[in-house]
Amino acid sequence: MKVSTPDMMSDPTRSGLLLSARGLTKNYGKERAVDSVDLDVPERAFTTFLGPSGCGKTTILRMIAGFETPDAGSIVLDGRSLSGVPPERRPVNTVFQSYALFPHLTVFGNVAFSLTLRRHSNVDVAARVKRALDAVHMAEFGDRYPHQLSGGQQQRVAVARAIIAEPHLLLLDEPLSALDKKMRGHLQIELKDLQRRLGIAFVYVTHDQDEAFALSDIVVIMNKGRIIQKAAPLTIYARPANAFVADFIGAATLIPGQIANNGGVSGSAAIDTAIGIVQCPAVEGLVKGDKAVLAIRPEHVRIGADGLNTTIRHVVFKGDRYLVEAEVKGVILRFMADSPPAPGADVGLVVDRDRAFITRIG
Amino acid sequence: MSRLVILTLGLAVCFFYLPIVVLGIFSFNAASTMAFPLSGFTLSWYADLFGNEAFLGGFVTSFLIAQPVGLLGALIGLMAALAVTSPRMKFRAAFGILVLVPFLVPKTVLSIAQAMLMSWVGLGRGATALILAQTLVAIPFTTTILAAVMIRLDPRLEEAARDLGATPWQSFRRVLLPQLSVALSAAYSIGVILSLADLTISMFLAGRTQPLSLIVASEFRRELKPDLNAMQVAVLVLTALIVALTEINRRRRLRGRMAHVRDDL
Amino acid sequence: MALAFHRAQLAMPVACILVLGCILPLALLAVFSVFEVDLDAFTLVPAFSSHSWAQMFTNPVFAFLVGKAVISGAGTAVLAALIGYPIAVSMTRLPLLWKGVGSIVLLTPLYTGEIVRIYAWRVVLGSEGLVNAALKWFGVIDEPLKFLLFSPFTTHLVLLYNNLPFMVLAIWISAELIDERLIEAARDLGARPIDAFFKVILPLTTPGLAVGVFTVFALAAGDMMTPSLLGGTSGATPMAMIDNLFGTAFDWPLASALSLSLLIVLFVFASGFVICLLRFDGARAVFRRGAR
Repeated sequence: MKVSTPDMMSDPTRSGLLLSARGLTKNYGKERAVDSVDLDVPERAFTTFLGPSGCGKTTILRMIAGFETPDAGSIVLDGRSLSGVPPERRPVNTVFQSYALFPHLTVFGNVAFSLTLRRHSNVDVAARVKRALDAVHMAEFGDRYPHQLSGGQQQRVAVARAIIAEPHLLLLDEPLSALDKKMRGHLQIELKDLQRRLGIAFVYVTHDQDEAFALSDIVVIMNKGRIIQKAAPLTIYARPANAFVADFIGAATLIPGQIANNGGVSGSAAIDTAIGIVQCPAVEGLVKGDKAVLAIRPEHVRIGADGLNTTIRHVVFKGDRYLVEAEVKGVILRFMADSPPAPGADVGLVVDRDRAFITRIG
Repeated sequence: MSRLVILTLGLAVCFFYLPIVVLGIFSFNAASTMAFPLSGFTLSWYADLFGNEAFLGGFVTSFLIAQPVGLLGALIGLMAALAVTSPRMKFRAAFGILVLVPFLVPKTVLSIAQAMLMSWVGLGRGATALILAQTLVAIPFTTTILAAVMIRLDPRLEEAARDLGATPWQSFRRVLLPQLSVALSAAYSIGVILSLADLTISMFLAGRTQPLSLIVASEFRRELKPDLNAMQVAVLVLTALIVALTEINRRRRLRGRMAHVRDDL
Repeated sequence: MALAFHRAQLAMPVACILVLGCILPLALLAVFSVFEVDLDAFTLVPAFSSHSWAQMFTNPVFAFLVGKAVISGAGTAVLAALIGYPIAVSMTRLPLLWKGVGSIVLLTPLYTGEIVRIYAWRVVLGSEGLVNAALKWFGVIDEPLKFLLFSPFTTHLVLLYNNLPFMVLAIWISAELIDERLIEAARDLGARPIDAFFKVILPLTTPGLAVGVFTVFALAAGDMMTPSLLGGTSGATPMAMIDNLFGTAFDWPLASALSLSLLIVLFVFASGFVICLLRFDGARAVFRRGAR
C-alpha cells in the first residue's frame, strides 16, 4: 500500500530540498483526487500549488499535514518519512482557509496554544507570543477574542499561531480567499515579506493565478490530480507546458495546428495553422507532424497595416483599455487597444513572433 | 474509526441493551422461572399472549390511547414550533421555557397535581385525563423536533410563493407543510411512543382504564413470569418498529433531497 | 389581503394549554398547601394555615427525603457526565451514515417504557439473574450477590441507565456543532487527541453539558418508580411520600407543600449547576456564535 524508498530517507546529496514526495496517490471512491504525484519542495522557498477547484492541491496539502493518509506513495520531510506519523507530531503547521481560531480563547491564548501543550515556563511563552504577534503586526490585540477581529486580523493571528512553534514547513490553504480584494492585496505583501524574514519554506495553495504569481518563487500547476508544470512564474507565463496551462494563466488565444518542422534551432519550431505557418519558440520534444497549439497573448498582438487582415467582432471596455476580439480565417485573436475600433471594421494585426509560443495539447 | 471509539461504543451498546436482550432470551426460554441455566426454546409464551384477555385488552387500550396523544402532540407541537421560529415572536425565551415545563417537572409531582386539579374541578380520571396529560408531556419533544427542522428551512421558499400570489394559508399548506411531513410523522411517532412507554402518569390519572403498563406493574410485585416477559418484548418490538420506520422514512426523504456534496479537493 | 395573523400568535393557544395543563395544577398545589384538611369528612377546608409548611420545616423526615432526591439526582448527573462524554465524543467520530443509526440505537432503550426497563433489570440483577449466573459460572462467587437487587446500588444503576441517553444526546449535539477544523487546528499545532479533548472539545461542549446536567438531575431526582420498585427498603422517595399523603393519608395540604418544596429545591440546585457551568469561556464562545 505505502511505498517507501529507503534511499530517499537518508540521502545527503538532497540538500536544499525540504520535502520530497513520490508516487503520492489519493482516491475518494472512484475519483482519483491525486494521481501518482512526485514533488519536491525546496527549503526557504515560497512554493504555490495553483489549479482549478478539484485539481487535488488541497488534498496534497492535507496529506503533508497529516489529515489525509495517502493510498500510495511516500512523503519525506527533512530526511524522515512521514508515513504513520500523526499530525501532532509533524514539524509542519497549517494556516486554514477559515482561520480556525479557537473561539473560547483570546488572541494570546490562540497563539500560545502550541506552547501550552508542551508546558513551557510562563515567561518563555509570553515572550514568544509577543514575537509572533509582532511579526504579523498584531501585538496590541492579545486580549481580544477572535469574534472581535476583522477577517484580515483573524488571518494574521492564524499565521502567528502557526509560526510560533517554528515549524520546518508552513502550509497555507487558500488563506486569503475569504477576504475582499484590498485586504487580500495587503496580506499578500505581508505574507511574502514574512516568508523572506523567517526563512521558513511556505507551501501555499490557491486557485487565484494573480496571487500565485505575486507570491511565489515556484508555481506548481495542477489539473485533475496531476502536476502539469512546475517552474518560476515567469517561465510558466512565457513557456506554458501545455494548452491547459496557457489557457489557465492569463488570457491567451490558442490556435491548433500541426508542426511543420523542427526549425533546427532547439527551443523553437514552426507550426502550420489556419493563419499560416508561424515560426516561434516552442516546448521541447515536438517533431514534424505532431499536433500542437500556438499560444498568443493579447499583449503580443498589435495593430499593423502589414499584418493579418482581420475583422473586429467584439469590443469590451476594461476600464483602462479595451479588449478587442478580431477574427481571421475562423481564428479569434485578442488584443488590447487604447481606443476602440468599430465592430465590423477591418484591421491589420501583427503578432510578435518572438513572444508567441508553441505548446503541447495536453 | 479508532479502536477506542469502537470499544467505547461497543461497551455502551452492551450496557444499554443487556436488559432488553435478557428479556428477549427469557421470553423464548421453556421454563416457568427466569433463571439460568436456560431450558429449551419455545414460542409458547408468545402464543399464550393471544389468549391472555388482560394483555390483549391492555394492549388495545394502550394503542387507542396512544393515537390521540400522537396526533394532538404533533398538532400542538407544530403550533408551538411555528410560533417559536417566527421572527416576530416576543418573549421567545419565556415561551420556550414554558414549552419545556412538562419535561422538567417530575412526572410524579405533575401527575399528582393534575389529579388534584381534576378531582377539585369535578372531572374524573380516566382515558380523557390520561390522554390530555400524556399529550402535555409529549409537547416538549414534538416542539423540539419540529422547531429543529423549521430553523433549517429556507424562508425564501415561502417568500417566493407569496410573491407568486399565494395567500398565507396556501403558502403554509403547499410550501411549508410538505417540507415538514417527515418531522410531523416523527413528532406523531414520539407521541405514540411516549404514551406507550408511560407508567407514572397512568398510575395517577388512568382511573379505571387499564393500559398495558399498569397491568404489568400490578403483576410486578408478585413472581415474575415469562409471559410478562413476552408481553414486554412484544411491546418493545412494536416500539422499535415504529422508530425504525420513522427513521427509514426520514432517510429516504433526506437522500432524495441532498445534492452530492464533497469537500473541495 | 394580509390578515393581522402571523405565526407568532399561535403561541397564545399553546401557552394557554400549557398553563392550564401544567402551571395551573402547580398553582393549585400552592393554594392547597395552605389549606387545612378535615379528616373526618375527607374534605379540604379552604383556610390560610401555615400548618403544612410548618411541618415541612420542622419534621426532619421531609428534609431527609428531599435531600435524598437531590443527592440522587446530583450523583446520577455526575456519573452520567463522566460516562456520557466518552460515548458522545465517540459518536461524533462515526461516519455520517452511521450517525442516524447511532441516534436510534441510543434512544431506543428510552422508548421501551419505564416498566419494561425496571422489569428487565430485575431479571438481570436477581439472585438467579444474568449477572449472578455468569459470576457463578465463572467461579467468582458461590452465593448470589444479594446487593444487586433491591438496594441503593440497584436504584442508582437503573437511574443511570434511564438517564444516560439524555446526557449523551445533549453532549453529542453540542459536540457535533464544533467546527471540525478547530480540532484539526489543535492537532496541527501539536495537540494529542486527549489534549484536543480537554482544550477544545470540553470547553466548547459546556452548553451541551449544562443541558445534560439539568435534564438528568431533574429526571433522576424526580423518578419515583425506579427507587420504589427496585430499591427495596432504601427506595423511599419524596414522591412516594407525596403519593402516600395524597392518596391514603388524604393530607393534601401536606402533599402539596412537600411537592412544592421538592420542586423549588430541585429547580434551585439544577439552575445553580447550570449557571456555574455557563460561566466558563467555552460556553460564552458557543453562544456568541449563535445557532447554526
